[in-house]
Amino acid sequence: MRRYFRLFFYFFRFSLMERLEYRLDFFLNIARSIGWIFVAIIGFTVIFQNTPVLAGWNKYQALTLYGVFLCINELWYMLFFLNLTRVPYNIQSGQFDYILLLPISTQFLVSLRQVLVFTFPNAVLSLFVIGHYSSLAVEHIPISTYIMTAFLVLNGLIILYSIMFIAVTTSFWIIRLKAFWEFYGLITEGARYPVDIFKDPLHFIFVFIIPLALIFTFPAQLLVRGLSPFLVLTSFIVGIGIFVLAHKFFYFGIRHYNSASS
Amino acid sequence: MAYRLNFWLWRVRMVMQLLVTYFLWWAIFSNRKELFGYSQSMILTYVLLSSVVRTVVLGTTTMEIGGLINQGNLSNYLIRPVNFIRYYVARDTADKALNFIHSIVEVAILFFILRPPIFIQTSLPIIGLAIVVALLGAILYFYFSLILGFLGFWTPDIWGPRFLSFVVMEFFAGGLFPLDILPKPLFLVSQSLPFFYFIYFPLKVYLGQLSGSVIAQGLIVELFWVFGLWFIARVVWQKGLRVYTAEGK
Repeated sequence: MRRYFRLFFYFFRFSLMERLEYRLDFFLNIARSIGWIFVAIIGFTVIFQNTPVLAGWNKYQALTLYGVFLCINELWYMLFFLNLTRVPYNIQSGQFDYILLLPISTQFLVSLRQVLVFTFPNAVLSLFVIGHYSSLAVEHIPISTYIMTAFLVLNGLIILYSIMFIAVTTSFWIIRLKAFWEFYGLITEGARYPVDIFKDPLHFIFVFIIPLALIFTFPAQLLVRGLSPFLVLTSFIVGIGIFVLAHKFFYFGIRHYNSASS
Repeated sequence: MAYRLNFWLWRVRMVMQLLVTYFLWWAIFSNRKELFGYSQSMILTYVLLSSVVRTVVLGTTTMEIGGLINQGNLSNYLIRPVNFIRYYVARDTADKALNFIHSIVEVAILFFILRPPIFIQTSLPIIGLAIVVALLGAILYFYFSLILGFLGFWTPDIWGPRFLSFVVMEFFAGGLFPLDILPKPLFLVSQSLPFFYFIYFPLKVYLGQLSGSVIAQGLIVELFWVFGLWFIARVVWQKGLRVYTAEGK
């Protein structure tokens, strides 16, 4: 395990060195993130101007949820986006051979090889959004609730990663899977808002097909509105279950890999 | 159409985006007849049509230009007997036409499934005017995106400025909601930006909520922006070619 942490540290360092070549991009991306936060705050302010409560969520609760969305989204981009985008290309070009040859977990390598470091400040920024708006929504939040929320955020990130990892594993069979980010956009489109505001069929889709509620809504709900222990437990069980499924599916996919070019 | 799965994923995403905005406004309008000076039918019409206008105005292939310049692949285009900008005009036109057909079909399907109360404009001159201002908006965005791509002549950091522009544009183009529901100072800022003419202005014209003089004034300012950005794009292109070294080739 320590070896993997050390490796991840090296990956992080190399990625940082690489990205610092594009300093303007680095700072503009932080500006972009701050811009999105302002857009969201103005948007929510406009929406809640004449509607104090939307499907049971007030403005501060909704903005806490937006903070959770931002946090998971930025962590996803930082850790996995670039890596998983490259999997179809590596399979198609035959470069996957070199990854398989390395004496290390293939799933670890294809998932965390490159870190998109410029989203790190954005992830930190999202913590401020969560902290600020949750304190406005609820007068006193115990530390234990914050800790449990952090675990649920992590669990949400794992569920999201697992869904995307299952999607990317299909590239062992489907070639030309290039619009990976379209799929990500598709499944996270409604994530900024509480799932309760959507009517069926969208509500059904966001609860049972794409578990947006588990990934984004539950952590925020626990923090500012309370969540039953049953739903907390369900969330963790789904997290572990889907991660195991994604892992097994990937190694099943590897068995069907027949080097493309070599 | 070589990447069919990717194309359909993109279109399904667009439908999802539309559904999310639609249901959000539906929830906001539950138990209300009017809000922000808009009836429910007006706002739902705005939301549905904004997805059509968005694909026509904001759909572009020019985003790849910065990368072409950075990787030296622009040379492949410069040696062809075709004007580079006109080549992208043709590509964008074809792309927009395809997007338009898809988005019309998608909105029509959603209309028949959801049966929303929508506003149908019956005045042909107003519909014509709305189409003209939307087309001018598409030209305006084309030059705007072109200029962002040409930044690649001077810097490898091409995505930062573009992503930042997405934020400003998403907000001030009126794709999320009509701009006149914003606080007055923000609305005044939006009026002074070219993004105002991308989605909000054509839809306001279509909804018949603007007087003749306001439309005329808006049209003049929009034309001013089109010529302004056209001129800047030409100057930047010519200056950029002088510093282009086909780096990477």
